[in-house]
Amino acid sequence: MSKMDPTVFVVDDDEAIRKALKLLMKSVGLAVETYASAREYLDAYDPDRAGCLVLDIRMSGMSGIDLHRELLAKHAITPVIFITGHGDVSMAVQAMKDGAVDFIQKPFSDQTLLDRIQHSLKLDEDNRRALAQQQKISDRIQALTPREREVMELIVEGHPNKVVAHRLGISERTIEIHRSRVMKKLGATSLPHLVRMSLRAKEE
Amino acid sequence: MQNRYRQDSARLSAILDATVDGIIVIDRRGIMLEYNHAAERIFGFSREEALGQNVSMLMPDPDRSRHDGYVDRYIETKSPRIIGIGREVTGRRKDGSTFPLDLAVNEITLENELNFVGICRDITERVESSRQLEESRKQLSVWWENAPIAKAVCDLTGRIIRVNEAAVDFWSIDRHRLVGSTIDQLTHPEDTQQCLLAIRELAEARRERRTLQIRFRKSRDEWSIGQVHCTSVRNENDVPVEIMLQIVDRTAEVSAEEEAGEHRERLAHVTRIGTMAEMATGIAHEVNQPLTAIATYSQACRRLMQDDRIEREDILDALEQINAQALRAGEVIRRLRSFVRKRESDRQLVSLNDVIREIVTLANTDSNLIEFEIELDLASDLPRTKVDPVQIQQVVLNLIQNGKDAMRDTASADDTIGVRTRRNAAGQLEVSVRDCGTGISEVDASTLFDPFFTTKKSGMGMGLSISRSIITAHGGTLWFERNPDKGLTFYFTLPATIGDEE
Repeated sequence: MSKMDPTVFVVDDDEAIRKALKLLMKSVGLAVETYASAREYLDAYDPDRAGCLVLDIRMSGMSGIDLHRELLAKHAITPVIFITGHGDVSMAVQAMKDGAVDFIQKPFSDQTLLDRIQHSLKLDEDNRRALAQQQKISDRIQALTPREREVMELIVEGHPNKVVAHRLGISERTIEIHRSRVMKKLGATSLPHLVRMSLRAKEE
Repeated sequence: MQNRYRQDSARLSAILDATVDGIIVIDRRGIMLEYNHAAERIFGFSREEALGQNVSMLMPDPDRSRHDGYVDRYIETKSPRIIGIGREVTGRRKDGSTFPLDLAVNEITLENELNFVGICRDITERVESSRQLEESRKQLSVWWENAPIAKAVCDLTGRIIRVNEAAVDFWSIDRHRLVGSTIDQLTHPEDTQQCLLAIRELAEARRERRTLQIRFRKSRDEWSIGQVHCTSVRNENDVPVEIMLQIVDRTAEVSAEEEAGEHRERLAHVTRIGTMAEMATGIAHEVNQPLTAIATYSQACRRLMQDDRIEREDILDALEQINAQALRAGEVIRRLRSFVRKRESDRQLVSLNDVIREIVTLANTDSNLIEFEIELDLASDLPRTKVDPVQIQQVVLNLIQNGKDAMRDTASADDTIGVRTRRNAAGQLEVSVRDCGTGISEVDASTLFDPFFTTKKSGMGMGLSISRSIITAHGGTLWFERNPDKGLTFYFTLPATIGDEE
């Protein structure tokens, strides 16, 4: 997980627009990096860097749509805001279907763009936090012994200790010890908390 | 005396022998007294064989037997047939062969005796070459007359001297009227000058040949198109004396080419309409880029200045950029306008109704446009007008397209688009396109003709703006009025060309 501030990544082949967006981001105190082509961005792409992508849909060479698809193929989670021209509506619709967060038509009001950027940054932060959480849980689950994992799975399925003991052919007392170790190792405060964590780990 | 005579005689003989013409002197009975070297060569008889013999031995029959009679008659009547005149006769050589002979005879009196001196020349070669000349003249005349292309020879001022059969066919004028005609009577008034210039160039030996395409008068208002190869005919001093025109009739080809050209133009026109749509998207993008940059820079400046974090450098840089980007947008518009202006030169004198009929036909075959019927109401008394027909069609098509777009959502199936031409009170040609569409709000009406104004979901708002600049460039006006019931009517005017003159 990067410790850097979230960054607005601008990819646009028009230098004037890149520089203008850079100044706009600077004026509201957002960290910004600009790239003149999709290829340039891909070369610098780091999945761990937080932020959002402001992407011109119509660029010479690799288009914004193509870049987005390439990023999806890399399981990138960075939210994408497309900026589109007048006649690019159908392209924008396609981008939305592909999973882009938003698109905004040129020329745009700064407030609209900044709102969308703030929204995307929040989304990215949430996503990254959730991902990190998930990662933490699955790391802890990995740390359980095989017996503890068996016990946990049966417990989260809702079986009482007695049934679990019977199923595994060990004493109810031993189950209780395993159960408290599982709770402790995962940092769960209650049974419902444990169930939630287990579900989240399985989402991955 | 005797001695002197001998001297004289010797001198005379020497002179006679040196002469290239055959010289024979006879007495009144026809007996040869003198017979020089040249005569020996011509007739094959030696001097010894000839002297003392009757000159008739040098002639074939019937002259041979009649010659004595000729001499007697002359002496009797003094009316000459040949004496002092000279003529072409037939001679006879020693070997009996005959040949053409140019003979001049004069009477001389020597020592009181009437004698005759004949000077003769073998003209076999001359006769032969003139026969050959005649033959090739005949051949030439066959070639000339029967040549498949029209040929005419004119003098250096352009007056026709001779023509061949194909030329008579080409002009469909009697030969005797054609010969003596001048170039300006035969050519289209617009082409006469060009043709005369070419003739002058050849006449002044500035060029040897020229090829032109000229319209020739066929009848009162019918013209043939000829490709004319002009060459100068020069005399032995290489000075042009006549001009030969060889004319290939290209009327059929040219009219086929023109038809193909019209077809191409029509295709190009359809393509241009498609290109306009594509271009519109491209221009929208190109104008959007600088506008976006301008908007973003200015907004960033405002934000920077609202805060305390003003950095002079940033603001100055942004303002400079705003300026540069505004100029960039202006450049795009300038390019667009020059695109529209580029075709101004194609103005022709046309019937406005024909122009409109053609584009309406086209609109009716365009699948995107056929949903509503187009009603034509064309005035019959319109004078012609000098316009670029393709541009005017672009305007009309744009207005029809707008009308249909406006009607698509609200109009019923029997609503129509009305296209009308008339001559207005000011004498201008007026075209109107009426729709039954949704009309327009007060606010939109004020910006309707602005570039990039549009109420349509797709489209970039250049149509009316371009249309207005086309009409303005033609010296007309484009405006609209609200219909009393529903929809709008767009009008434009074009100047009428007075008296159909250029």
